[in-house]
Amino acid sequence: MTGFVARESKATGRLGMSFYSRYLLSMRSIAWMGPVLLFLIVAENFFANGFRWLVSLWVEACGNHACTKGPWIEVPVREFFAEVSPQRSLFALLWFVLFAVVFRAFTWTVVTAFLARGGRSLHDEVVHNLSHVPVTFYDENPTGRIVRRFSGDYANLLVEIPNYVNDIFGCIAEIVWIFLLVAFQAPLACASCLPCALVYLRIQSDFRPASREVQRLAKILETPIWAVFTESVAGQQTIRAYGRSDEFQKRLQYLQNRYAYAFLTQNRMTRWLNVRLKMTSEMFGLIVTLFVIWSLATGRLGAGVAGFLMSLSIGLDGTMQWLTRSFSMIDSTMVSLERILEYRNLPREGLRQGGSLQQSTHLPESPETAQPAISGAEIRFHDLSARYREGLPVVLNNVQLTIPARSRVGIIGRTGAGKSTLFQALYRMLEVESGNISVNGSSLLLKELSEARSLFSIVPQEPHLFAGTLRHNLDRLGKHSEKRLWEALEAVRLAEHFRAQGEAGLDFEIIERGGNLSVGQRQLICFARALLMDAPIVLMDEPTASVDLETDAAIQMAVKHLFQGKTVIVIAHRLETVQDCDLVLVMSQGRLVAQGAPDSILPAWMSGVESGSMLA
Amino acid sequence: MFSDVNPLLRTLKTEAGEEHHLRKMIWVERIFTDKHNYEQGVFAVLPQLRHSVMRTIARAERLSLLKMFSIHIVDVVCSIIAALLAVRILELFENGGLPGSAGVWEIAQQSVLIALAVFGLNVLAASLHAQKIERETLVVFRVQTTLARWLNTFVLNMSRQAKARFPTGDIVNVAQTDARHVAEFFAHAAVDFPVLFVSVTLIVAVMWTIVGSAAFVALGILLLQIPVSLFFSWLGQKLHGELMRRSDRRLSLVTEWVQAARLMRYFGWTQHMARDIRIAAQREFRQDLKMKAHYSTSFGLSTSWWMLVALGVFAGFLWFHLDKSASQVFAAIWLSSILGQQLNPLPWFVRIFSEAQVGSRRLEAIFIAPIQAEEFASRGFSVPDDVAAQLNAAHEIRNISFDLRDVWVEWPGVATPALQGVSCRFPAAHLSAIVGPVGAGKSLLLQTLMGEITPTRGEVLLECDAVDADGHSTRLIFPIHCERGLAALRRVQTFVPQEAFVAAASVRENVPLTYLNDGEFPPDFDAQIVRALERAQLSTDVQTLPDGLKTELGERGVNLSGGQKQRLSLARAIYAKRPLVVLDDPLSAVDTETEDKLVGELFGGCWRSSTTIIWATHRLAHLSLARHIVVLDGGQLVEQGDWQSLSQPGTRLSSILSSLKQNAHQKNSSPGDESA
Repeated sequence: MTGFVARESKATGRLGMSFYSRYLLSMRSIAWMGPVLLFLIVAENFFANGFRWLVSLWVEACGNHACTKGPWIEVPVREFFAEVSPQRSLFALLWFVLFAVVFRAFTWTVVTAFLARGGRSLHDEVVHNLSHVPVTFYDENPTGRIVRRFSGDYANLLVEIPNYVNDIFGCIAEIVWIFLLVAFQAPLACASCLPCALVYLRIQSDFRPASREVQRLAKILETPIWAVFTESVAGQQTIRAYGRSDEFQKRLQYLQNRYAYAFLTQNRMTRWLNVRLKMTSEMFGLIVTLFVIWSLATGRLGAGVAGFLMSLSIGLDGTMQWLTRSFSMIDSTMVSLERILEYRNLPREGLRQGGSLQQSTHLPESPETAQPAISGAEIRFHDLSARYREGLPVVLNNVQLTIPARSRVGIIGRTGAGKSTLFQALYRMLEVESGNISVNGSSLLLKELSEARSLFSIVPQEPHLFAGTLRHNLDRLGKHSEKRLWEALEAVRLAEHFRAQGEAGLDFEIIERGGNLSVGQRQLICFARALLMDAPIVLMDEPTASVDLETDAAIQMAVKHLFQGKTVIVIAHRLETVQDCDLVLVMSQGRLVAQGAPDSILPAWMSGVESGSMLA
Repeated sequence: MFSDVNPLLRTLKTEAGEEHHLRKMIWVERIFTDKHNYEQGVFAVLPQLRHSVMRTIARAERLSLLKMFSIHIVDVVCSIIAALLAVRILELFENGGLPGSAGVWEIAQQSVLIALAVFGLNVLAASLHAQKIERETLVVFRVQTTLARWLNTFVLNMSRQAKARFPTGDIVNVAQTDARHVAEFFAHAAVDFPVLFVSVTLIVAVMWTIVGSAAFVALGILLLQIPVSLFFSWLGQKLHGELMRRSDRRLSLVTEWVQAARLMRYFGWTQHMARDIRIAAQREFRQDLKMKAHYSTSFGLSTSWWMLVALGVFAGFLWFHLDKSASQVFAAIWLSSILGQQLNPLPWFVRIFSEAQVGSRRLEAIFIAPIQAEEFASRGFSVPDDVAAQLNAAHEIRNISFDLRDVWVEWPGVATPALQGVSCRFPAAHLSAIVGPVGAGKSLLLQTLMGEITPTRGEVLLECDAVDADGHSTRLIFPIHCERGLAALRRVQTFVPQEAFVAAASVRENVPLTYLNDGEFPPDFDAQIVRALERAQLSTDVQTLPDGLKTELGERGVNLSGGQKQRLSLARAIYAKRPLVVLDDPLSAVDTETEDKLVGELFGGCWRSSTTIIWATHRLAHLSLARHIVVLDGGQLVEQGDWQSLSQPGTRLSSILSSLKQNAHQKNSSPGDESA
């Protein structure tokens, strides 16, 4: 089935601005929360420089200048510091700092929580979609690929991306504040703001595309290193038996060297960036300082404000670096969002397949009133042809057959003949090309999906159990009483075993994949499960495929005696199983090639097997 | 100034990145040719590694660490001087510069020069800092890759018994994660920690000269940050642990849900489980909110701590009745900022250190295991020099036979020996079979033959004809459980294991087990590979692969079926064309038809009369082809001989044959072998 697995779609490296804005705008209540959060971020970034500003005013107070000199905002603050005792000034500053810390913590929490909540609702949406997707989706997409959306990608959406968005807006706000403060206090020095910003943007635009590409290469080049390492550990014996140890060591070195190019270059590029950003911010600081010197010499500014202005460039380069880093990181993690969004629009299964089908086979729709429980039901296949999905070849070919109510039917045929596929058709997991299936006269394909499926209970080929209690595995939805559960276990001869387990009984813990039970026991539990469902039609797919002789006998007995009064369809390899059936069907390449009583079908089949013309 | 990246930046602006772009970064090549202390290889440093991995690396990297320390100190000193010079400007104006007075413009001139000096110093500091970070990166890369390489070489030489104690996943994890922790410690914490002490002392000293005793208040508040940040980091780890638990729960639910998707639909349980998943996601989200609040508070506090330090200085002014001037105040602010920057990463250092300790111990646990050479040393076998010389000079080695003399293999702590007194000879250039019930010791005997297991008693001797360049043939005999013997054996043997080994490489690299790397295969390589695949009944399968011979196999490529993998193993042995082939039940996943063809091709065809074949098997259909049959049971050799004598009724072999025949009959009535 190698052609079946679809290729993982590769996201291209560059995501446009529209993607980011869509991400932000898709959050719930963004309309009113958005402005609030922006306000919070802007306010929060005032504090570090605000502190320095307040200190500058405290230092000067009314020292060299009259209290009323300077911008109108500063006057009350200067007056306050001048009037109040030194201790109280300090306390005021202390309160300011504490308030700053609290406000900052509050803002960061609120912003990241808000964005994370958006990720969370996306998670729920994807879960909802996946629970309604056609089963073939799971055949096309390996488990690992799907689960990655829920692990690494979701973690990015919940933690990393909100942090980066927060950082980006915060850094931008901080830089804007610095420029504003400079413009406010030293308008002439602000002439350096614009060039500084432009140089910064230029440096950034040179850096980001290249950084993205090299990061991508680094990721690609790193994986083979560990693949080879794992192999030499796992294949130690073969490798050294052939005397190829040197070969594998050389290979490891070779791959590490290739990786070195990407990894070390990536770092060097970041050094390039940081040095240039530092130079830009120092240049800015220099220009401001020169202006300050001139202002001091001409008496425009006091020493306090002068000091404040000079200190503005502290940390400016750090902020710029952080901003650039956040942009790069968000570039690479936004891919996670893309991947999760892919699962937003998935096909839905269970669409009623009606219309032309109904007309061609003249079947009535199922009545809307609830039907009484039918014990045993007649199934008819009306010339059914079906495939797994569009583009794949037809797997059931004009199947025409009638299964009488309450009969036992056996299906045999080569591997891949289409036996299990019949079951898939009954569960509406195939795309019907033409024809119909009816149960007791009403079309199965036109029923509501869950109603249709509740007509069947199945004992699948592989006895799969879930991690959890025995009760959980028998009756997850909790529909049956304990008494009923024990009855089912009695019927498959497992009650003894579980009673003997001590007090646990039905709360017996089954580990992942049923590892603490034998294959036979797991199979019997599956029988009990099917028994509990009490559906009119019972399907069994090779129930004795992988069991030991003892359990084999128990299962054969179960097959013969359980499910009295129901329609039973068994796919089997063991001819003994099929011998007692009322009807035997032979499938080959998706077609029904023979049907009849066991006595007429089986001898021909046996001779076919021996002569080699019919291998199962 | 790192300008050599400029061309690359230009190119990658418009083109997609590819490897050849990176190859233009010539400075990376300098790394490969740089002399450092890792050239000797793992065995030279093994005693030190076994004692302490951290100390070994520290010794190797001591020069780099010293350089990084010096650069970092100079960088910090530059920043301090720059801050002081900036303060000086303010001082100059405060003390002498009333606007309008005569000396103001002179002061202004001086200040401009000082400002330029500040600019220069800061840029210098930035450049130094960047250089130091680059060295850090190099250390991380060097240490991690070296540890990984050492581990790789070590594992390839490890005693088989010792390796069985370590699951593959664990070893890979140690190489990936623990080696990285050790590397990161040396790159970041090992240097930054001492620098932290030195710079804090320096800065506080400078502060003292400017603001007097108020500096000690600052120091006090600064030191207070240590327990606070350690507390937050401890809290963070706890919260994170709980988050991981909840996240794991959600993920295991999702994985089960996805894996059993069909089953869920059969029983109508899909929605119910989806609801469980949503609940788990909600619980995880709530924990995540707690973590966000924690992180915001802790980070907010640590980034604002410098303000508290500055306030401390101001309080100190008050307390000690000092005058405050703008220059002093701003000196306090500047120096507090620098101090704050130094101390912030402290919890991170602590964490890196503990992770590195743990990692180092896990590495040592692996390195302590014995290697094969050490196992051999306990028995004391050796190959005499003249024999070794002849082996090395031989053009060709033929007619290999084995002589096992009273071989015992005992496991420590197990009462019954796994092999008891096995003595037999495997004839040259013929097929020998080893049969016996499950657990009889067939695989173990093969392992002993191949040198993977050293017998506790007895010896295994190899006999061969060494043909030199002139065509003279000498019969040599030597024990294989010693370094030279093992090396000689590995030159002449091929091995087909029970579980096939498939490398993550193309088919044409898997068959000869050779990696292309950057080179080219010689022109007729493919032809030989194709011939080997034909003989192994694998060529039709390979033709249906998407890229034929070039198809990548393994996890990221195509997954072969069990039978195909075994045939690939056989192709490997066929291709190698060596005089000895050891087979450990290689036909278990192959159907009878293919098995017949393979046996015909190999035992009856290309390996006939030139190759010594030793074949441990369950499949008894073709035993009649064997020249010598050895029957094992419970670790003992119960019977040996040729087919004629052993197939008579009454022998052990015939009783095994008849019981197996019965089982095979039953199996054939309900068929179900391999399906591609």
